[in-house]
Amino acid sequence: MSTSSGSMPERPGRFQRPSLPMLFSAVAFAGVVVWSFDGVDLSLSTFAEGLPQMGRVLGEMVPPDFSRAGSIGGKLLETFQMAVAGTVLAVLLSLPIAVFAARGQSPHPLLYHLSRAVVTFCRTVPDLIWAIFFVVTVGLGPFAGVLALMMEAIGFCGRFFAEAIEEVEEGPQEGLRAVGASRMGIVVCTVLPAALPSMVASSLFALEKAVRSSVVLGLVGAGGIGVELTTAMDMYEYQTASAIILAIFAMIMVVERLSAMVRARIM
Amino acid sequence: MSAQVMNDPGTVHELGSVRHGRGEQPPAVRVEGLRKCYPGETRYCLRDVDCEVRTGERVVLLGSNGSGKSTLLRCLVRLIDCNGGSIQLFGEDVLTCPSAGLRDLRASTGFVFQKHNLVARLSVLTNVLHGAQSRCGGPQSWFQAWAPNWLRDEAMECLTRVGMQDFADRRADRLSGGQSQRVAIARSLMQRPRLMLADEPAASLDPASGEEVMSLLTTLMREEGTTVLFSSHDVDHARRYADRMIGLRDGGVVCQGPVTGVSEDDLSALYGQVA
Repeated sequence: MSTSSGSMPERPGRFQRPSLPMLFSAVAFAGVVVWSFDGVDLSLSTFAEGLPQMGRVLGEMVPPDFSRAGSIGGKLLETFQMAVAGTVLAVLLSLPIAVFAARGQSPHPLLYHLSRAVVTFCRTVPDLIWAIFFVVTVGLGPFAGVLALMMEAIGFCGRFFAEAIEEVEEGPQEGLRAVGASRMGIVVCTVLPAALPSMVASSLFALEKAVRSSVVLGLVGAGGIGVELTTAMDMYEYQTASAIILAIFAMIMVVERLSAMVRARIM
Repeated sequence: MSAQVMNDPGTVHELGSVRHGRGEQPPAVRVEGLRKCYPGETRYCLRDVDCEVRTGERVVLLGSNGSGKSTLLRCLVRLIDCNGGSIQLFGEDVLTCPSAGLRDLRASTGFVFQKHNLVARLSVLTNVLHGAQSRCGGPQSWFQAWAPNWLRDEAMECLTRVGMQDFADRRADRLSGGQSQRVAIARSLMQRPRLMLADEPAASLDPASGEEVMSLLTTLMREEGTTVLFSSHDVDHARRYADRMIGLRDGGVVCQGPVTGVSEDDLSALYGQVA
């Protein structure tokens, strides 16, 4: 092969020399990692000492005991219902919050910052803390769990809905602004249809997350299969516990597969 | 030609039309001393623009890319804010009118964009219904499922006029560029506009589709008696579809007058060389 000019341009090196700030950041990051490992008493010897005990507990879990399948199935359904109810409520509440929290759509800067703060707060507080709060305020049972799941999902959906809204193409919005449409008309007719696939995907992720979270909420009395699991573990019924864990695994896998299929169709 | 040639865009010049006195119909568009500078830029992309479009005229804004045509059209209905000057549409001051008045002004002014700006995931019929948003108010023109029959019939009539009646149920993102532009024209027809603005409506289309769209737009507007102001960099389109031209270069008006009299000198003033 011949080139039009005789000399080849100089080839760039395979690796770029890191800049001073980049080098400093890498060293700082490594320092934080070492500091964190040191701070939590990470010990390989302690782990090795615990291995026989782990083996014993795992051995006692086999074979799983499905003699209480009816009770486990009922609680599993309750867990799924809690997840669905909590997610749906969160999606409905997140829609207006996300519009206010989206740059370019929020009618007022104060509303923008307030909505962002609400979303961040919901996300910051862990689901178990929400569950304890609602168990104390509305009592034991699945309703407290639904409210806890809803609060956590608002933090998740509110953020991702707002980002989806911010990424919507400007052209169609300009098109409707030019016909004299109201702010509400523009949001409903152009922004939401364009953001819909992303919002549905986020909602399905929220549902998956809620199904996983709802298992844990039973630990503090907020309903669901977690109550059964805690009871079995407390009574040293490890075979029943393993049956419950397998049932939870099956439910989460089914929900994740279905969610992935729906997402693949709409995206 | 009778077009006034002004090679220095910064110079103050007389308008091509006379001022209208008491009892006379105000011009469809009157722009005086319009200036626009985008945030973060030092160069003005519109510099003391003066121009006028009389009711019923078909006027082309002619100029090369970056001459300020799109910016001027967007300023007319305040899709973007300008930095100074005045704009009147049918005698109403655009820059000082409150938001409700601005929505009314926009409602009576059709706007066809270069890239049609339809809502991709919605049906063709729903996109056309959106043209009635300001006139009807409320959610009845938001989606075809909610729209009353009389409004749906009106939208179908607009689609029929642009030859797209068989595509009413199709999603807008399944249309070709020319078909999309026809739907955009139908959406503007739903507004029952007194003035039609079109920002290079044929620029993103192949030549045959571009001709169809330009011909359709100008024919329909002539039937309606609607004033048309469109932008183009195509001299041939300007000569065939407009009565008068306003030449823009570097954000200033350099010539204006009947398209029949456009000379090589005018084109040199516009493009820097004969187009």
